[in-house]
Amino acid sequence: MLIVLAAMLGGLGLFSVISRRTLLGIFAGIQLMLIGASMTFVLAGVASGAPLHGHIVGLFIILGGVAQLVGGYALSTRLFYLRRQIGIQELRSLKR
Amino acid sequence: MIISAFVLIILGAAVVAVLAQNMRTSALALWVASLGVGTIYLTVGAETLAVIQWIVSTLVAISFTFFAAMFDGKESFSLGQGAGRGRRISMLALAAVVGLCFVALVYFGWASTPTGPMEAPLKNNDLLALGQLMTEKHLLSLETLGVTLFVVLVGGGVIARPEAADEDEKETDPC
Repeated sequence: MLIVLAAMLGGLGLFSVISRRTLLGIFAGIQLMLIGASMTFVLAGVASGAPLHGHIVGLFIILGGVAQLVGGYALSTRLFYLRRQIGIQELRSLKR
Repeated sequence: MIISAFVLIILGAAVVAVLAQNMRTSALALWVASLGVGTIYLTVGAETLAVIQWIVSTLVAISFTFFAAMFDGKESFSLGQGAGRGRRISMLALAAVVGLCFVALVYFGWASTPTGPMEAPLKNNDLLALGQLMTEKHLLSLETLGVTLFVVLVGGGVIARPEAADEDEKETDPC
């Protein structure tokens, strides 16, 4: 049941990433996907008899999510500073 | 029974986080889901990871709320708002494909998934064993993660800084 829950969290996050139009909404979806992914590794580690390996991979996923969020916030701030909006369509304007 | 209640809470919070029209509501629901996942970690013997999950999710929820207040009213957060008809149809088709994949995953993988609550392992499951394993077998991954976090921190500060040219324009042109 818990692994199915992790899969559903990942699916909901993926749906959010695809359907949202703003950067913050996409980041929330990515966070949900990362929660599902780390939960999958932790539960798989416990179920396979090597729990610590699952814990370590889950820890790396959580901290990698923090790195993604920091970069995303920086991009959002930059985009808002330049365009006064944080829509995903305006992200291409940063190339210019 | 308690696990089932937590699963329902986590699923409900995740659905609210995905479908909410307000960024603050979405951040709060994401926080609740993360806290619930941390509690699940606690029940399977991952106490350290549970504490880290709680701390990180709380900081993420606070930062989401700050940024939502900062960008408030400037951009719509609604799900799929402003999308054309083709995009809405493709979103629905994608949701259907994801749902079918999920049904297939459950159908074919149900026998291999563990049933019932998992028992937390008692031996070699403490912080000392975790630290030893991390430094002995996953040292390169740990170093890579540390360098990545450092680069992101510095790079985020560089990206988010105001342009020097813009500042000069503001100084010379007060209007």
